[in-house]
Amino acid sequence: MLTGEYIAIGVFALIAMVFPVITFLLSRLLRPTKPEPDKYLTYECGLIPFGDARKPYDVQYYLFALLFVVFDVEAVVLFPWAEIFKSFGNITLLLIEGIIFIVVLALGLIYAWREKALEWR
Amino acid sequence: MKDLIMFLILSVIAVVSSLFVFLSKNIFRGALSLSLLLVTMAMFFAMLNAEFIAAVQILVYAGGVLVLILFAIMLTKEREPSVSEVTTSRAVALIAFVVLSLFYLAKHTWEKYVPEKEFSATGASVGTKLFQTYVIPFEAASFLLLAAMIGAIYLARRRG
Amino acid sequence: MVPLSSYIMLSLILFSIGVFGILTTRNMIRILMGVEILLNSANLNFIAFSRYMGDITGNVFVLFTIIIAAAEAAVGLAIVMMIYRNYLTLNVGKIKEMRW
Repeated sequence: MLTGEYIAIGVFALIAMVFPVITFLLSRLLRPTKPEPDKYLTYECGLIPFGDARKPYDVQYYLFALLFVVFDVEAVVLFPWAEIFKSFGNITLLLIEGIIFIVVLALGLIYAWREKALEWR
Repeated sequence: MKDLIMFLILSVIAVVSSLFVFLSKNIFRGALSLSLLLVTMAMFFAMLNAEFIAAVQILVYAGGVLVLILFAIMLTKEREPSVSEVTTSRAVALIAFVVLSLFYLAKHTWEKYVPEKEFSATGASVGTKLFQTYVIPFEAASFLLLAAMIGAIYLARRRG
Repeated sequence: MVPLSSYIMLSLILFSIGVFGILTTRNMIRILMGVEILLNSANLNFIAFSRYMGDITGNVFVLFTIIIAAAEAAVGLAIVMMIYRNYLTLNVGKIKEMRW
């Protein structure tokens, strides 16, 4: 059940959530407020911003995120594999199973490489 | 008692954030609300002694899938508001369905399931079960990931 | 200790919200987010039953579900972006040509 081990994480989360709120509130209470239109620009000095910030990004970002997710999943699945390695009965079988998994995903990596999904164009 | 309070707080967060996924005007905020829901789910998993799955949930869902969704939102430019069109009749239908099903569930008796004291689903215990009984699904999952990866790269790469 | 039925009820509520959202929104990315909510409510049920029956199989199954959800999100969002490239809209009501 929920024992003392998680209380530390809970306290950390609480502090992390409360701290920015308090900081913003304090600075709002302390600072003088004189709104001027120039103060709402993105850059105080320099270019006047134009256009929309929600510009469509390049698809390359998505490809990198995709590869990250796939290998993230692979790493997560290999954690228990590594953890039980010593206590498992048939180590050869376990090794073969893990190697098959890695090799199959390596095929995907080779495909991504050949499709030049790993290069920044 | 402490668990019940924790459960209630977390379930209120979960329900509100899942509603906000569909009701927020800005889809980006909806995605961030989804991330809150996913982290809350990880906390539920930790409450249920499934520490390994809680870690996987945060690593894969909140760290990976959510990044994919955010990138997809930034890569496409939404021209029209996409809030769920909640009319009165639809809301009534949803609430009626939930209330009726809750009545049905409450009629059922689940008391025969009492949790054992010493239950912990760590990486080692999940891994033992996974590699002793579910080896074939495990290898099949690798092929599924391979197919998903190749398909997604093929679809998303730039043409020409 | 929270009774098992409360987890089932929460899972039911989340599932209903997910289905409701999928049925009422027109945006494809929002529909995919709704699918993630559905998968998560099912996962919660699996984990709760696994804990209350003392059987670790539910945890293994949720691990598979998470793997499949990652694959689903990757392919689904790639399809969404390709549709967007061709139609310049994400509204599922406006995509009605059968071929291009």
